[in-house]
Amino acid sequence: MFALVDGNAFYCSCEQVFDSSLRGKPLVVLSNNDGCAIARTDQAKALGVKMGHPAHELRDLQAQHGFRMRSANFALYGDMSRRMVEILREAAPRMEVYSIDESFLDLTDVANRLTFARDLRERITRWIGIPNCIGIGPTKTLAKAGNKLAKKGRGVIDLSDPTVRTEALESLAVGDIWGVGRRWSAKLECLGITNARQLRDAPSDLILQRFGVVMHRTQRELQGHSCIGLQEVEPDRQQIVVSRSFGERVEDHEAVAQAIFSFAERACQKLRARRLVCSALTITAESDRFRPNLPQHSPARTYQFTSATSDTTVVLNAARRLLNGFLKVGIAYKRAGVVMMDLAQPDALQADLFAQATEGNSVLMATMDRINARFGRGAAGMGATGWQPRPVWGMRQSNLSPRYTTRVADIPTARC
Amino acid sequence: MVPISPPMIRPLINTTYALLLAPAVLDAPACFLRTSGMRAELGFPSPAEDHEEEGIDLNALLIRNAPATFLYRASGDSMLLAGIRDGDILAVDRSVMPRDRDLVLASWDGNAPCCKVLHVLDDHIELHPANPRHAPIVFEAGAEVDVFSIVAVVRQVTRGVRTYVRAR
Repeated sequence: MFALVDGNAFYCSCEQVFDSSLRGKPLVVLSNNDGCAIARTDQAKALGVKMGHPAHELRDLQAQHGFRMRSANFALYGDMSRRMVEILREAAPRMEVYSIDESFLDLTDVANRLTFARDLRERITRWIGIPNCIGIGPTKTLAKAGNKLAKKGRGVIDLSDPTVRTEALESLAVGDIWGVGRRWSAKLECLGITNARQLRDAPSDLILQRFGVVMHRTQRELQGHSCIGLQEVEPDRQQIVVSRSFGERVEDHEAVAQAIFSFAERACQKLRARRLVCSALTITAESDRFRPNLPQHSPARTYQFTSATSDTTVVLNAARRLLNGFLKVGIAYKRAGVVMMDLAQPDALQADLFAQATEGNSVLMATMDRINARFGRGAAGMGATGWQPRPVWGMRQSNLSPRYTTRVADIPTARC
Repeated sequence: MVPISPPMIRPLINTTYALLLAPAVLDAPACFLRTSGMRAELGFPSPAEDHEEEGIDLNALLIRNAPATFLYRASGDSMLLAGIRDGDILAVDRSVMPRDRDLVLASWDGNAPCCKVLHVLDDHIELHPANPRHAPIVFEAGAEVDVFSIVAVVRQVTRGVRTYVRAR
């Protein structure tokens, strides 16, 4: 038996915990660079704010309705997520962190699931101030379905009872089922399958034939056969991507290069934090696609390492080689990134006749990581990144809230 | 903020109930060298080896439920007689149910949170300051107030500051 716990409008809720003037109000959280809406409260939803709503359109809407906006504060959201996971793990040790605000729990050994879930929901709300919903079901897909329905007001929904389940699935649109995208739901609706109960009861050979094994598995899960297990350990990632839009178009290619070096440095830190090494590095840059009248150039180049590495100096050297003639004169760039590919655990690699399995100075890197862990990210790094507190390629975050829980200078105030 | 007349705060400053417990470990991660690690160089086993302990971790001492504990910075003088000064850090444990006369962090009506002493009466609650220059806040019955218990007050003592010592 599974449960899915999910924080309601998680990013907005995190902001509301520390700024009570935002509670019960329409609030929108914007993506990195203040590009578009990535979270909104119910009140903002009611004013017509959609997920992915572009920021420039939001400003018109804001002028009309006067809602509040915040830049994404991932330091805060990450810490609140960590607290939520800690509470969940203590309550149900077998669990899977599915995303920053969603976790699956294994409730097989829990006697009274409904009471357990109601207590847990109450506890999260009380302990960290994040309102949340819990769905329970014999499969992950049904737990997810229960969660979706719980959002409509009940808070906790248990779909383990077959009669309750049939009725509940009838009220769930196919597009709202876990794993059914918009494209598939349109195709299903053409066949007259509009709700989850109809998908569950559709002839399975038809589903298999028309939609493939993934949809068939979803159907099996809706029928109550658990096909997707709990992933307690995060699987090794296949690639690490660090890319970002710049706050403005950047014509200075030295600055673009520094941005790429910074992203490569960050990617190396992520790589080492997962104890992995990479064998290939791709760097990318993009001009402003939304200005078609400007000259466009969006290059990408890949470097193959002779030996796998996670050493920032080795990676930055590769990036420097790739950057030679990479950017075109007269082009202003809006976005850049790095992708690290062919990731592996260093012990799993074998040396070949001409090269060792891994290269790089792991002691130096471990020291740098420790310095950064102790004195804050950015305390130690490579000169190639430019080392500026506010680089021209930096993010636009005009409505950023303080890092209430992770920085001493940002601790919220209590009036005495 | 109204300056406080000296007689009122003097007893506060002169009274200390501090007892020495043990050396504090403030920066735990840096402390990875343990006594037994020195044995080879010293030439003979440390007599303290069998009595080795970890030292006292202030986090463990002050914080019982880490995921539910949040820090706030005290600002103002209304809680002076409860020993809370401007600049102190307050550890708020949201999992502890506040009771009558607890030190609490309260917020209502979208106001910034404030630190007071909770008084639970028959049909309503009141928030009392610990300073006669401030008035208690009395809520109507049924008013919605978020109230959380304060479980620790942290102050770093620095030199060269007269009355108010600010924790950093």
